[in-house]
Amino acid sequence: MTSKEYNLAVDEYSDNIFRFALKHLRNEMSAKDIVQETFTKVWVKHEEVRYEKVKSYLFTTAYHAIVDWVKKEKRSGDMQDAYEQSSTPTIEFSLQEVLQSALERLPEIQKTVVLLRDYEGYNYTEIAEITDLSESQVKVYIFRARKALKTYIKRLDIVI
Amino acid sequence: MKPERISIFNYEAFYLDYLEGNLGVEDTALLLVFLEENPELKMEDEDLPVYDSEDYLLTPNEKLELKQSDEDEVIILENAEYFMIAEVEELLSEGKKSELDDVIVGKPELEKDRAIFAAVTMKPDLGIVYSEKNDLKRKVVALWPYVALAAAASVLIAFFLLTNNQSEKTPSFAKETDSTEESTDQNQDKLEEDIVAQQLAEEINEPQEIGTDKNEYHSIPVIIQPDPKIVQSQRATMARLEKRELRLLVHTIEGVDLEPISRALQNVVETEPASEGEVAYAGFEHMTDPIQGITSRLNKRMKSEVEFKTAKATKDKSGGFFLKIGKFELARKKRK
Repeated sequence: MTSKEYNLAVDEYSDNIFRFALKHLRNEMSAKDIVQETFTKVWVKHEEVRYEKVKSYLFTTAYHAIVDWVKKEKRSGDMQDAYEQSSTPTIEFSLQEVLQSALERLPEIQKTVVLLRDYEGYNYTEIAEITDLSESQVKVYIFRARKALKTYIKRLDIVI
Repeated sequence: MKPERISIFNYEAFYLDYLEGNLGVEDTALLLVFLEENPELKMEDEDLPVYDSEDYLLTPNEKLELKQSDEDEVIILENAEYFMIAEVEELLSEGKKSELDDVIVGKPELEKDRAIFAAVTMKPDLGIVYSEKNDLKRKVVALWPYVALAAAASVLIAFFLLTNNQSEKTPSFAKETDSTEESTDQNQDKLEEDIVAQQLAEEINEPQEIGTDKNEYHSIPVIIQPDPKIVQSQRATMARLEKRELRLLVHTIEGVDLEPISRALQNVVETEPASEGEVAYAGFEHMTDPIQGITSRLNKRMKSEVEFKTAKATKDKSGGFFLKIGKFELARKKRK
């Protein structure tokens, strides 16, 4: 990948990586750090990465950076607390808002696979490559996540 | 003495097998004897907590979640949810979809579930954007113009040094030539004197025959050799004269532009639409000379024309560089 292609990748995918990180970390500054870290790592390897594969490479790098960030900051427990605290009924106006709220209640890995599937349109094989899971595991997590989302929405008795 | 089968060093292994019911009859008897002899090693019930597996059984629903459903299996109420999700994931064939319709029809609860599953697809909020893209980008530096410029400058400097060395080796000749060219006006003023000198030289150059007309006393002719200094001076004068005559001839032709021949030819080339391969200079007219000081000095030093031009490519005009030293031309074009 040339410098030009790398800059093109910044234009094309930095928003996607930022949204992906923001959905996981729910902290704008941390999400920006993840974007910086991701693109810095990809730049180091840019001569080895083909432009056609850069999106997948970016998401893989971002995913691992998010996992490391969560481990390093020991935030997973705190996040869980935050979920619990925010689980008090709130007025939500649209289905997408409700879904966003439901998404935050999912386990990290389920959130990851659903975001990659719905936001980025990746297939099971690509998600498996990004997350170091088997295709079968990816499928199971997506099914569980969908089921959990349905249960959440059904509990709120929202009219679809 | 034969070592005992169960001792203080290995009794735990036998004890564990005994508690789990895996110890043979013979070893059980031996263990019980050993424990009788060492009552302090005997464990009470509270020392051996046994976990009741009944407390850790999965519910039927939990087991169902762990099972891998097969898309080909028959759809029933218990697995309908799996097929609803598969439908959202676009994994269902048309046949299976209609089979699912048949199972769900008339069951409002399942119909509602199906509608919810169809709706729980996350959509990205495109309003969330990363605002610091420019910080991530790397500057792209095009090296070829600098390399070309450096190469051209090196060639020019090399020529400059070479010609400089040559001029140092023949200082008197170079100086004479320079001074002659620079003082053209003064020389023209002395033209008449030179012509007189030429006539004089002709007279000197002719061998003088003595006694051919007046000195009739000598029958054998005597040839007198001219002085070498006078001959050298006369040759130099002749050379200068030839140059000036040529110059005078050009001045007498009215309307002739006294620019160098190469430049006159160049003007002809520029007015005609030439193909790129035929004339290297064509298409470089808009370029400028970034090292004009060096090229103009080289022009003076060398007898052939030295030219260097370069420009950046734009949408309208091509970029590149053009180098000319006498007949040698080197050019590179680049379009945006």
